[in-house]
Amino acid sequence: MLRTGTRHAPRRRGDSGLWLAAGAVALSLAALIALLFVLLQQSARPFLPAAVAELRWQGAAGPQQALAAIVREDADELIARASEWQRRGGAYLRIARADLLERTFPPDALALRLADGRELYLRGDAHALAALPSAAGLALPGMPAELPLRRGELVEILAPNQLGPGGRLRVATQRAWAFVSGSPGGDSGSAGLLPALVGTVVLVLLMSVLVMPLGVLVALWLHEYAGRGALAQLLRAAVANLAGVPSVIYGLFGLVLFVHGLGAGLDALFHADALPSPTWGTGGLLWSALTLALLTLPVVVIAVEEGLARVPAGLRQGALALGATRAEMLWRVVLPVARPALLTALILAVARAAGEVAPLMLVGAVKYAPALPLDGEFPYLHLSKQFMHLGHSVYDLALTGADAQRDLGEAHAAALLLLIVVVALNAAAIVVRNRLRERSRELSA
Amino acid sequence: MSVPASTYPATPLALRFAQRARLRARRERWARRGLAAAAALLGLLVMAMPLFLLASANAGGGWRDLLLPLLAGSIKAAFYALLVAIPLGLGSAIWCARFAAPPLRRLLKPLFEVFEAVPAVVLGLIAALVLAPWLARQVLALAVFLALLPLTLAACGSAWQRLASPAWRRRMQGRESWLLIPPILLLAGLALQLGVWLGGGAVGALLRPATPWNGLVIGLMLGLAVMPTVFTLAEEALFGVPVELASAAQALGATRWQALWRLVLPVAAPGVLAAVLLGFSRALGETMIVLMASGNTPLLEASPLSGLRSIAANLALEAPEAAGGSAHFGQLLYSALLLFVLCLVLNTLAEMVRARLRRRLAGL
Repeated sequence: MLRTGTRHAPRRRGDSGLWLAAGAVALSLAALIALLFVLLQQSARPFLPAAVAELRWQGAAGPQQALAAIVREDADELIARASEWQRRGGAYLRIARADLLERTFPPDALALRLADGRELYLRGDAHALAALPSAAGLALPGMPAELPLRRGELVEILAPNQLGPGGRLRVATQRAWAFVSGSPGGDSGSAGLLPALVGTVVLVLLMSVLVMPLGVLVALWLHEYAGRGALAQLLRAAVANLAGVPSVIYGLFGLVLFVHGLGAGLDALFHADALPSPTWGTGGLLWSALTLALLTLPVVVIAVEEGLARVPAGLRQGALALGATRAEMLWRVVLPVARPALLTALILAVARAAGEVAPLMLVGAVKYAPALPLDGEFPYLHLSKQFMHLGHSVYDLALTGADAQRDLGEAHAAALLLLIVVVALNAAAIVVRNRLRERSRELSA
Repeated sequence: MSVPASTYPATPLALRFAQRARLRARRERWARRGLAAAAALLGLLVMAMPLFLLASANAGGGWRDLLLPLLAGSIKAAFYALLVAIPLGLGSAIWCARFAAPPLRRLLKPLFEVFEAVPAVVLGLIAALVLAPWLARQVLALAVFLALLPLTLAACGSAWQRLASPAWRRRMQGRESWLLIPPILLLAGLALQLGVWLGGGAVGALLRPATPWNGLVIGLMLGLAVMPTVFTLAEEALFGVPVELASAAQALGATRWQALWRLVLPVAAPGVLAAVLLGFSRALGETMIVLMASGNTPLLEASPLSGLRSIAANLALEAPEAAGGSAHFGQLLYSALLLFVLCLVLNTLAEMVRARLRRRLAGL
């Protein structure tokens, strides 16, 4: 006992664990920031105008020369995009550093963008080109004679080497907006996210319409009628377990139950003339929405039940004491008070559903859908059609894109958009939940 | 009703009440039935899921050749993910629940919650396109970084304890994690330099991965994805332990860390174990990250430098193409059943362990 005097003060011994824990927080934060930084940097890339260089390099057959936009460069090599006269993504140059003889950035270099996404590089006067009437044929240096071009086909004329930082930012913003609000241009790859965005929103709305009534009813039964009976406990355990089932299994379940089961049955009944090409017996909007509704059901049930538990008992007893039946008490008193909890449940379900991709790969999201699921033609909402989805577009652009240099950047941009949507929804849920907590504290006080 | 209410004597009101009573009773009955029906529907759906898997699953004799590599791939991915997620998530939880200053905790908790909601496809994208190609050249640097990290943290800690003035130490108490960000970044830079410097030799050749899309990448990114799950549950468990326990220990002369390690952590152990189990279950079922960044090669290798193919990723890849009712589809369902049962067991275990924690805390 006396030994623990002042000399061997044990105060500092063994405190290094504390610093390891602090280090874990620091490391997690650093990783989070690094992820965000990488995403921002990568998704800005396809929109920032690349400098156009006059390259001279040692090719296999002597020195070669070309005007090209520098897409990527590292210590060993340089990847540049020369004029795409033939097709989008068809004119990349890969030049080893050692072979590069000369690189200049002529101020009069122009970057032209065509409506189908191709880019052309040449030297000339941007204003003279822009001033041409839209029907005028173009005579550009290096243009193959069999592929004539008109002024009207050019959607963007830039002199990238003359742009300052402000100008580059302005061009990048314009391009990013065009990408978010544009439609894919046929077979030339993706040039816009609008269909994917619309598909995601329609899917999530449909899912909410399906999941909210059932989820709220189940939560009401569990909390108000079943109480702590054995049956209710069993259902609660089942719901908790349902929340832990991998999402891809929901996809498989949806595929078997909805697509192979219900869909094939509907086809045999109502669309027998169209068989063997399936109408409902293939992935589609409705089946995806139902699958996601199943996936988010536990989220809704758990959140709503928690909200119901926060409604002060005095309010219920007051309503019952005034002669209300239990259903009236629930409808007139409990549900209005628990409204923020319902909203939280909805937002959480939407946030979960908006970010899920794996189940959708099985039940209906596709790389390219020719039409939006929502349009002006009767019946306006096309439940049996396949659709495009933001998350699926990310996956698809990243792994199966034809023009890697562009598609990878666009995949990151789509991922950033998805992240913004999901994080905004979650932040909203957190804010609503905190308000709800304060309010229930006021009510019970 | 143009007649003023005051002209009615009391009885007609009672009469109207009696007339409406039957309607109200009927409504009450229907509400009860409707709610019970909804609950029954949900129960039915819950039952349907394993039953349909059981009914149509078909191993088809290919268990050893087809399913074993997939199962091994899933477990390998989840194992390496936990190697990343447990230190990060548990360390953060310990810091956040017991040591962090309240403003820092109020910042960190929602931040981790939002991190948990980041779509897996976004993380998978970064893992596949940015992390994997970069890491393929920097395995050695990563190894150096991980080896030196604990030493650096401990050294920073003791240097701070010795060198900083008491006033500064008091000011930074509960905020020490900010102090560690510069040393961590410095160490990362140093490790990158060392990796380049050492990379030419035999060690560099040994640590060169066969493919950029390998278990290491999966471990890092899946670990980051699972980390918030581990964090949230472990933090909840640790925060629930009464402050008086730790205060009493500290009053008896224990340091903050000793109080935590000897007292708080053992009390909260079931909650921490539940966090790890749920993290494992989530890592097993995670699809998009593994699908995009693992290379999807069905190998039976434990090495973190080789690729893998997990059950979940295999389902996402093959199920859209498999014809319903075919032997191939039956096999896919069988693998899904395997995954389902694994996750079910893990979740149920975690729930049981958590219930134990709740009882224990209620006793305190």
